[in-house]
Amino acid sequence: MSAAGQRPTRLSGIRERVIAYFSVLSVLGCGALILVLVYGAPWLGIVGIHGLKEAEIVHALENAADHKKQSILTWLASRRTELAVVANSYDFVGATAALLDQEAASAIPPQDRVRFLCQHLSTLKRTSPDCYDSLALIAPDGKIIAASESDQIGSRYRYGEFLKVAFTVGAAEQIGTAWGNGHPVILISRQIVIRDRVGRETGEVPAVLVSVTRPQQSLEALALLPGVADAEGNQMILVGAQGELLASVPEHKPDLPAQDPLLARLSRQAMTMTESSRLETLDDGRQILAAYRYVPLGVAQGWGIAVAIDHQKAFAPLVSTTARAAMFGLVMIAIALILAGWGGGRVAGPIRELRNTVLALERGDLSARTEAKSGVPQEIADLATAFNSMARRIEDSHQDLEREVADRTRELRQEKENARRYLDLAGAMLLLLGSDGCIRMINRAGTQLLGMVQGEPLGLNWFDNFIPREQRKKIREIFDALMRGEQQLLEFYENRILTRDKGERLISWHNILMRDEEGNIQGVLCSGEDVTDRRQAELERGELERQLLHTQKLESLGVLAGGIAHDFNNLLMAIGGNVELVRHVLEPDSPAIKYLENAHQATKRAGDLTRQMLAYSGKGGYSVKLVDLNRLVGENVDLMKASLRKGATFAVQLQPGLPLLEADPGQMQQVIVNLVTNAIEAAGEGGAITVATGLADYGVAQLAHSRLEQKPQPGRFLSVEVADDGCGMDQATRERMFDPFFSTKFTGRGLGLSAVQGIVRGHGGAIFVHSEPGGGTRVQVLFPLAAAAVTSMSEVAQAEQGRGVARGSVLERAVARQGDVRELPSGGAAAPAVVEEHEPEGTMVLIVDDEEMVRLVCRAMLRGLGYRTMVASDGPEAVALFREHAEEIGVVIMDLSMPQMDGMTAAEHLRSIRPDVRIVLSSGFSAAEEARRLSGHQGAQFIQKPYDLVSLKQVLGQVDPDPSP
Amino acid sequence: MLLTVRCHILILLVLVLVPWDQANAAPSPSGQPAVIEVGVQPLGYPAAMIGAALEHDAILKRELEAAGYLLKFVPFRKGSEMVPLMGNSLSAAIVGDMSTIGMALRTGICVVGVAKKTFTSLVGRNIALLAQLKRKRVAYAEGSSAHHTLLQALASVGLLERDVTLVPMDIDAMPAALESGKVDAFSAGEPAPTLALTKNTEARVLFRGASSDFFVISAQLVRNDPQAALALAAGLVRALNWMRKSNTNLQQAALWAETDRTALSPRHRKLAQGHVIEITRREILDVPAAPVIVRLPGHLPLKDEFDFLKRQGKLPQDATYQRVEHAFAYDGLQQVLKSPQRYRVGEFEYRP
Repeated sequence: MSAAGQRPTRLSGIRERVIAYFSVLSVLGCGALILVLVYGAPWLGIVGIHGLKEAEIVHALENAADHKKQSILTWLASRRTELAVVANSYDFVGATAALLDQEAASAIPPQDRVRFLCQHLSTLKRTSPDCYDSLALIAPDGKIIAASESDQIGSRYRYGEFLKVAFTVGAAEQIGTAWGNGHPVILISRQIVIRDRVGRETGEVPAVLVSVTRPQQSLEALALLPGVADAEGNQMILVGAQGELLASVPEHKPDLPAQDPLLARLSRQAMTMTESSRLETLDDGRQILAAYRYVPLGVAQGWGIAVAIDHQKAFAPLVSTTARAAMFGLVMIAIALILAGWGGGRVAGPIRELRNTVLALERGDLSARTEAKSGVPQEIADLATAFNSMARRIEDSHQDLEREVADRTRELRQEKENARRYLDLAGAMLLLLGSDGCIRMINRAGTQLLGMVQGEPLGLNWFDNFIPREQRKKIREIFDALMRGEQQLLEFYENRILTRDKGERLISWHNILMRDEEGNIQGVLCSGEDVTDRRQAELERGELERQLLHTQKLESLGVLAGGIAHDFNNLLMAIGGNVELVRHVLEPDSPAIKYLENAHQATKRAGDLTRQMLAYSGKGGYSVKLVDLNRLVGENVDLMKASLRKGATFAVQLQPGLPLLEADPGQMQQVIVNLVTNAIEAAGEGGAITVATGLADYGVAQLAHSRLEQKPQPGRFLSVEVADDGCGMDQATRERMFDPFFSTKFTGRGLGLSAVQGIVRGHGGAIFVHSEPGGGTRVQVLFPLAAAAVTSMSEVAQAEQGRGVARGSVLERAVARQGDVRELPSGGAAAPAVVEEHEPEGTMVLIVDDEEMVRLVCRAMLRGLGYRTMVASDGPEAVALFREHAEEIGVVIMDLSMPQMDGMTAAEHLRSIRPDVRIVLSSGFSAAEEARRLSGHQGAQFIQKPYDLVSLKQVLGQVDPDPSP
Repeated sequence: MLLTVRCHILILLVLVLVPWDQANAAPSPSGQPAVIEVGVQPLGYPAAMIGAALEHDAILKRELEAAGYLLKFVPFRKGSEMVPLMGNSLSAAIVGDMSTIGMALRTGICVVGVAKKTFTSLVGRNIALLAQLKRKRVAYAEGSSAHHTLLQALASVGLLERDVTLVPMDIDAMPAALESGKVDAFSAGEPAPTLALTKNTEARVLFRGASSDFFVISAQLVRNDPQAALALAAGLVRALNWMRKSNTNLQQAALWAETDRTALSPRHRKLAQGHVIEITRREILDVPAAPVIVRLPGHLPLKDEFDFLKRQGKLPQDATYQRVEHAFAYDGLQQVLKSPQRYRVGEFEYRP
């Protein structure tokens, strides 16, 4: 607000302020000065007038009391001395002793002695007439034997109590008080002590001399207290040991203390046998300053003196002086204020004019100038000149500033427009949220992402409009805590927002806090990027990577399983071959035959196991033939019905008219047996098992649910489905059911479903699994229907009649595709004839194998079949041996996997030596693999390890259809 | 039988070896003189003068030696130090009001007579009224008559000990402490107040309380050897008579007292001999009937003091005044004064 807009107050002017400040300071200073002067400041070591006055009054009181005490002691000392002189005088003592000694004979009559004694006492009284009322010499029996007044002689002394004390042994003198004739009296006694001739005391006390004095008349000195006790209202009293008022100034009746509070207080305190000075408050509220003195009169008694002064009256002069000083100070302050006002006006006038000029300038009149009049203070004149100069500069600067402001405004407008364009150019959403959660700014990309038009989102509450309902409350609480400064800002985070046209979108945010100049949080500036598609792509890529990894793992397992199976097959070859050889050399009725048969069956089961492993790895025996799936299923289901549990039922639903399937019938059987075996075990007693076949078309979406990593192309598929109503599988079991060696059965080897998976994968099919815990399991395997497949039952029948020999194996077909393969018999009867034919004895067979056990077994088996044999342990040796006996060697049995030179290379060498050489390849791997490798090699046959005599004989018959045994 | 004899021999041996308490001061059959220890206070006047006169009293010494005693004077800085020793090692002492009450309550004593009748003063610096003592530092000697006076002074203006800062201090150090500003006030008997008032013009007496010193004898000594106790009582009367007799005697006693004071406290200020004599006259010699304690009707000695100290909690709650009254019932002084020639109270023989 400008100065011109302010209403002037009473203290707004310099002059008024000078007067106000000066008056306040003057009053405070004067008041403080008076207070310090009057009451002092002990912490500054200043003793005030009040304290000094108080000390002065107390001192005066004490001096008065001390003075009176001393005068009383002096008076008493004089009296004691006078009595002592009389009592110790030889004549007085002698006369007293003689008077009381009745038995002593004396020339002097007793009357004369009494007169003598009375004369002494009268003389003493006359000498100090104001000090004694009477003097008496008293015998121990209490009778007065001499007195200053002769009429008392012979009478009993009136102060008997004092007399008892006066006769106390050893108490040579005694001072006391008593009450007589309505007023107190002072009693002083002196014992008359008898001495012997040499002056020594005998201890005998024949009488005491006692004086009586009225204190008021005797202690006139009490009135001589200039300036203290004679003032109006002041008191001085002398009290006896019993509290009796012995004397007072002003004079009071002896019984007055009981009625007057001041005298009562003084009397009570004076009797305490203490001396002090004190400020006391009476019962009627009056305050007195009093000094007390104690006059000891013996071992156990004394008198008290009290001098008191009324406090108010004592300090009245001080109060009056203080008031006058204060009044004087106020007058001086008033004068000073007048002068200050005049001086302030002289100073403030030019400043006021200057102020008016400033106000005009402030109202916009930049041409306003002030004028320094003559007589103003130099500082004001300089200030006016400087002000005028400053006003000119302001006027100039103002004009420059207006121009510059116009330019800058234009630039700012342009920059603002540019900034808006920059923001709109940004691909990311830029959003400014206020502390209330409402949108303060949003760029074009943000508006578009929200599905709105430009400017529509402004002012909308971000959380209420754009955050999904389920997250709204939580995010709003976090935002509010952030605005209160209680939450750490998350600079990067992602969340979903609601858009008008794209549904929920996942936004990746980068945030910064917006603060004002004082650091207070004003809002959050957010940069958001729509990462919905990217995140989806990342998820899919991750899934692919996971599948790839899994595939690689399974492939590694396959390689491992294949390798193991190869080595096992070599070993099984040696074991089984030797067992078979032994069995043939034994007599049929030999008891060892039974054991050898057991060993042979074990070898076969081991061979089955290696086939499962090979099947899983995709390297199982792969003798592809046209297979009637319905027939295969029917045959195997019939065989497996024997394995059903008690009460279990078996339903077979075969779709008629299915086309033939090009597949390895052995592996197909493996698939059916494994699936049905699992279903039987899962269904248990009373369960229901269904096996069905079918033919249908499957699309991408359906095939995407295949449990194989490699999805087949859409098309028509033959299917085998095995279902049970058993216990079903949970998610974890479903995911691992195809993993090799995973089994939920105690005795399971975990290779059945793995083999199924390998076989189906090898045939390019698919597997579907539907299973829920308690809901049974349904497994469906698909096999692609090849385009060239035989689709009619007639062809099936034809194929069966021809035993399919013409297309019996992939190997044969591969050899046939080379065009140089030996023509196989096309007639259906030829094949069995060939199979049953034997290699004529005497034909030389070259056995090439790096395994010695295999070589030995094979040689024995060949010899058993009537062949002559030669052996070589590797490829080079075989080539060298063949080169030497090329004409002699009829057949070569060549192992494919050998060090230095593998079987394929060695076979090529042999053919280069003699192209028509007959070669039987053998391997522990599958036939399908070898068939692919043998493509282009003529006259080659294959035998799968382990093989027995029958197999060997059969394959030798195939390579040599026209043997010459 | 043999065992019984051995036990008897052992008991006799123990009885021979265990020393008898010296407060039982009595001539031993072996001829070794028993010691009568008299506690004196060289730092206080006129008690120091009386103690010095007794110490140099050849008649007293001779009479006690004839009775088989060795007279020994033991100086103390304050009376409260003698309280626990009375009846044990001490047989007689000159002590103030509070110590007399304390001794009477603790053990049996007989009060022979008054040794001082005076004021104990509360002296302050730059203080006008007693009430201004609040929150001030006050020096005092615990258990002394001056302590009693301080309590009286505080009570008279409604203050308690906790309202001031009490500074325990030896009496002879108090004037210097007041002058140096270490304390704002002190409570003590003569000569400390006189020393402070003469040296410091800002010092003023704020309060004076009447107090007394008494010459007391162990009741056990009175019971075991009444004549020795009477000899001590006569010594007190003789000492006062001797000092009353002439100013020369007073000066001589003052010299002896100064010697005793210097031996006990060589560092502190000496009081002029004139002051010493004036104090002695005022506080004992000129006191009517001194040293006789006159029995006034309705007045019991130290009764007010006893009641006050009990109210202040300075005495056990089960303490009874009868023990104090019993101490004052001793008439040894009267016996002596009845027979002044027998006890030679008028004969003076003071060795230098």
